[in-house]
Amino acid sequence: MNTTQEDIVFLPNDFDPLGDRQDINADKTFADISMTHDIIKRFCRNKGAIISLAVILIIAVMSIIGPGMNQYSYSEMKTSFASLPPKVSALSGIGAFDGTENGKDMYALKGCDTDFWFGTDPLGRDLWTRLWTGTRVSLMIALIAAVGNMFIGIIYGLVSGYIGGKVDIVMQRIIEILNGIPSLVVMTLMVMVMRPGVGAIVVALLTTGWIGTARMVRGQTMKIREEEFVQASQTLGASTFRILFKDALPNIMSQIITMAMFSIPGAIFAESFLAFVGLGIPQPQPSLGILISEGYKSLTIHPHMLVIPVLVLSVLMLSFNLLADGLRDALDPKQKDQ
Amino acid sequence: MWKYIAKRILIALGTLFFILFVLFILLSFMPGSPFNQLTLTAEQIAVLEAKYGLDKPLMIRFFIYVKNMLQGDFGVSYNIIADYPVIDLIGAKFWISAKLGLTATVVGTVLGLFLGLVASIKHNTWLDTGTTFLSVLGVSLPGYVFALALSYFIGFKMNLLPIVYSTKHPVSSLILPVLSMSMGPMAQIARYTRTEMLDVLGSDYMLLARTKGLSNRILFIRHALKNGLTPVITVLGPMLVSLMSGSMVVEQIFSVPGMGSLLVSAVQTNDYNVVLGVSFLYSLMFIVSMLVVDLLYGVIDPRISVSGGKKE
Repeated sequence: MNTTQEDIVFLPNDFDPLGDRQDINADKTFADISMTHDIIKRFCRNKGAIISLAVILIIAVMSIIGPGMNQYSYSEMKTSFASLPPKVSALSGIGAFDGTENGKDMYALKGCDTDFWFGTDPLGRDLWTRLWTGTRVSLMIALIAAVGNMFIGIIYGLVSGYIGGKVDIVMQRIIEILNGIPSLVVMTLMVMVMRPGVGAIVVALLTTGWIGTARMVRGQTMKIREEEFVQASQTLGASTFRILFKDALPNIMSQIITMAMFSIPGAIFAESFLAFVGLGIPQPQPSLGILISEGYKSLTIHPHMLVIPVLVLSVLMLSFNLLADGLRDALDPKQKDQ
Repeated sequence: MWKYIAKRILIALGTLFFILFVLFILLSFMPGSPFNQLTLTAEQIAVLEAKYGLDKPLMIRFFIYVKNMLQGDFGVSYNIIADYPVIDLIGAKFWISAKLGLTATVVGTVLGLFLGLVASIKHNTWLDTGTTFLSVLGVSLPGYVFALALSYFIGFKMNLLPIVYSTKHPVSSLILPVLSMSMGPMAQIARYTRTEMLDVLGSDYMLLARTKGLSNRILFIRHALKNGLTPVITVLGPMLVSLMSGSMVVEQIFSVPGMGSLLVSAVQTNDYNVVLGVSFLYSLMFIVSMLVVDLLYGVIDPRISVSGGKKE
């Protein structure tokens, strides 16, 4: 800018009191954008994240309405129709979903005249219904664990970082001990102690999942504690509670949300891992992990039982990762590429 | 420096002691006992519990365990091979897992470094995009998805490599497990290397070195690589351990008789001593590798002072 003294032109009303006109500084070239608007704009520019969000929404909606789309239930067994390949009559022209396996029409062989869209498992249960019910269970476990971990992490980190001193030292040692055991081992042991079930898996995920969030919140809180706006609050007599939740937390919320987002695919994986080890949710309830470990047993004979749940799991995990990436870039552009 | 190292080792030992305690407590809450079989009467179970010292109070059992452990005795297995020392049981399985984990780490690191370097040199070309795509896949998907895909397509459909581990073909039957386990580290390291190298290549001192007329090769090898690759070391140690403990599913898919499958069968048969031994060994490796990485990092990059930034 080479604005010299002479370029400044004063208008007659420049020195009048402002009164109610608060818009005097409105910039026409760079219109002011609210933070939310800015975040949404940055997020929408990321095509991968948008597609991922759409995919996740589709899978979530299917997990709600999918089980009701045909007449079967997830536990109803029809042993005479066991291990049927996928068949959708309307699609029979395309070479897949035509009910054949190794060139033989299994539906004709077993005398079945209805369609199982994703086939049946060795007990004759409809895999379409089981898949979407299982997806619902897996998503629920992951979401509850992510939210729970976020809460525990925030509280633990805020207390440890803000109070500091001896409290902080003790709390950090506890984290170190918990963190010294590989998380898969902790989860295995926790589920063993509590007997397999949805609740046990969620608690197992909550045992160590919060540590990352707690560490991050603690570090940020310690940094923010020294900032001038917090000191100003303290001088004005704000309570510790108010400083923590009104001053400190909003400043780290974007990082916390990103972290929680990244933990969802981890939780989905952990559930499937436990199922594979034999500590999944009990029969006949399905989950993605249960379906994969059941399908794995007949991988070479009936690959459809494994391929479909593995695909759904992979697409879900990939989408959540890309979505979290996009969220991080949108919420905190400074962190990009780190 | 030495004082610092000694202090760190002491803290690590303390942490390990507490970890052992936590594991011990957890195991004592396990439902069912290792002898809770329908064939045994109450008296027989009592005799067995007395034989293994399970009738004593928890704290006394813990101190007996620690005392024996310091002498290298991790107790005996109850169910997997009755009365067989846990330490020997683990020892037999450990080397297979270690071999698998180490090879996968090395393969993953080499591939990852290569991909990351290529991506950073050919920044914003299709090579870069392809590498990014590969590393997103590798980071997002669990190793067992690759294991399942490889064992189905390469092992079963094309019949190129064995899908089940056997001692007769120790090399060829390990190729698929190693490949599927190295996908994660490869992606992680490629991502890391790319970010670090882009950072270094765009820095002022690289510009200065270039202005002074250094040849591209010296510029790259002596100035860029050295600074770009040090941070990669920090991920290596924890990665190796999480690979070993995370390989349980992959080991099961390829029927590799390693630590992972040992832990799984111990979990399923309530074999407490084996569960405790394997879990403790994982923790030990984890803590040692963190310590080594921390100390190594100070040696490699003197800018990061190990003794907590007290150097002026």
